[in-house]
Amino acid sequence: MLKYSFKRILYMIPVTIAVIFIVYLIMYLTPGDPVALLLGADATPELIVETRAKLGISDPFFVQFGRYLWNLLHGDFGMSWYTGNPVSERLFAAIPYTVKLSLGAMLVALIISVPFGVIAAVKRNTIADYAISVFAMIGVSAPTFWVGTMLILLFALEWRVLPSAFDGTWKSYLLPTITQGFNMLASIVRTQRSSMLEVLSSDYIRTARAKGVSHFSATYKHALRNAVLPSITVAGLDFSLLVGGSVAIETVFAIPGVGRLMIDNIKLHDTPTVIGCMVFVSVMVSIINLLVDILYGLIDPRIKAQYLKGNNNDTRKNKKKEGKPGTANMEKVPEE
Amino acid sequence: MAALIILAIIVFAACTADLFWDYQKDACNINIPARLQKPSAQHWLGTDEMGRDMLCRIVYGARASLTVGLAATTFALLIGGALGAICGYYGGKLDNIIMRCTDVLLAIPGLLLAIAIMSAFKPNIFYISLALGISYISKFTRIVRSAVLTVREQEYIEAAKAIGAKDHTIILKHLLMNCMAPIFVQYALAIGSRILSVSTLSYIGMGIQAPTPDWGNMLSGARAYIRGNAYLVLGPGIALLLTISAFNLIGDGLRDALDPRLKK
Repeated sequence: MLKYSFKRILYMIPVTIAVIFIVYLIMYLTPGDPVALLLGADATPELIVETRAKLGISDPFFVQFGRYLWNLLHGDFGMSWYTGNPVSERLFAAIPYTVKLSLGAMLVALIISVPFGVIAAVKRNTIADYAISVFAMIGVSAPTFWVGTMLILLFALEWRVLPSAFDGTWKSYLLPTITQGFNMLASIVRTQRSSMLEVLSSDYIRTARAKGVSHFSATYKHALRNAVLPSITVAGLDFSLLVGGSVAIETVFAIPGVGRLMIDNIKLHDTPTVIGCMVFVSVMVSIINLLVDILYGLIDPRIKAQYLKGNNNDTRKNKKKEGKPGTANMEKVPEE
Repeated sequence: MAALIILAIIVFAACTADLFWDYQKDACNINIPARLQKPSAQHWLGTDEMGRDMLCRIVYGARASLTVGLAATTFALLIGGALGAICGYYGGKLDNIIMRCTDVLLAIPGLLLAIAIMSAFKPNIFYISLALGISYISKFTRIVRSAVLTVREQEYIEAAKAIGAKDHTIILKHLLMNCMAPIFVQYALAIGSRILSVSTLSYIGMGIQAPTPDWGNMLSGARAYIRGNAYLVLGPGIALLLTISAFNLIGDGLRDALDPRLKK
């Protein structure tokens, strides 16, 4: 297990460097002269040359990229071309909002979808099951920015119970987290339903029922405990999508998070800030995926046992191979 | 079936829009005296903040969304499918290199990659399709590769090799033809996902630009006027919801039809 974790961490290094390279290359190719934007139309040629040299944008691409990578290794994301402040400062000011939003959304999604998944499995092929399926389908199909707008319309403008724009209070986190969580519902409900169905038809549940354990206890004590792990895994994997997909939500609710910082600065041609945001989000996604993989192995004793036997090298793949019908084997429609 | 009917209606409406409206006059031209009119017999879904007929813009918006959705997904399928087939069939170092490249692309959230690409190009339908297609290539590569890997060892592939069939014939005629099921499923789901992405891009100002009608930019334009004018966000939102749901349902239906185990 330790060897596998170490290998995964080592493997992350070249992937991260390649991600930074791609992001840097795209932003390098973006048209528009930042110096002209910074200095305005009446700048003297001398000042333009001096500023270009100061920003280091006259150097060849690989020199610039090498310098950026070296600085990044020292925790330096560069200076914002627009504000003149360190990008890391702006980024670290925005990160807590995005992380709180994503964690809140995951919590909302788990609180709603695990019971829904259980109900859908227990009341299989009934109206309740179909209604939950439709609800989950709407969740995955409705654009988050539209759901957010509708919630603002109802809760903020019509009923006036919650603020329409973000003001840092817990109340202003409610609508964005519900919107984001609603979008995550479908995958968790489906996973929970299929894993619950599988567990409910297993021998040990039949044995428990034969021994006289009540239906409630067999379902909610014995089965649920064993069926909830895949849902947590899916939620963990979706967490990376949440971080990446926060752009629209942060725009709708005016949350000063990483997504909004990125969009605002793309429009301002502030390349260092945009690269900083992209690199941060991509590295976060890689780290979360790695953690989910490792944690999965640690939590599930069956997976851990497989490692001890030394016959495998990918936890998620193995879990999927165990044959969960439905979402565990499904390719998810990414919510972005 | 319901999904197919919904989709057929949307496609039919998008194709026949020119019979009912004049694109430039009704969908694009500003008509301030008629702005923000509530739904009526003349304007079934009302008019927007620029006085344009909402129903007309929603119908024309379907054209943009469906075009980008289909173009981006087809582009991703062609490139990703070719790479996946090569990886799955040949294996070895080439497979390793391509798969490591897909790992890198998968590490960047798709929408952010599309946004970054769009910042380097003019926001028109071609580049939006390209950006959204590129951000989906790696997913198709993985799906096609895993599908090819399951078929590669079959006896009829060995037989094709034995009778001297060339590699490209084996890949195109035998391998890909026998792993169409997961590809079709993913293709349907991917169109829905690309439509969602193009509307998100348009909403944040990085996609289709006004006055060209698109559901995302219609919702974005309506933001400042929603108080008392809920119809401005209901129409485009429901159109998006129905279209994406239709593609998702078709994808799910295909998956169930092609893999009966999942019906359980």
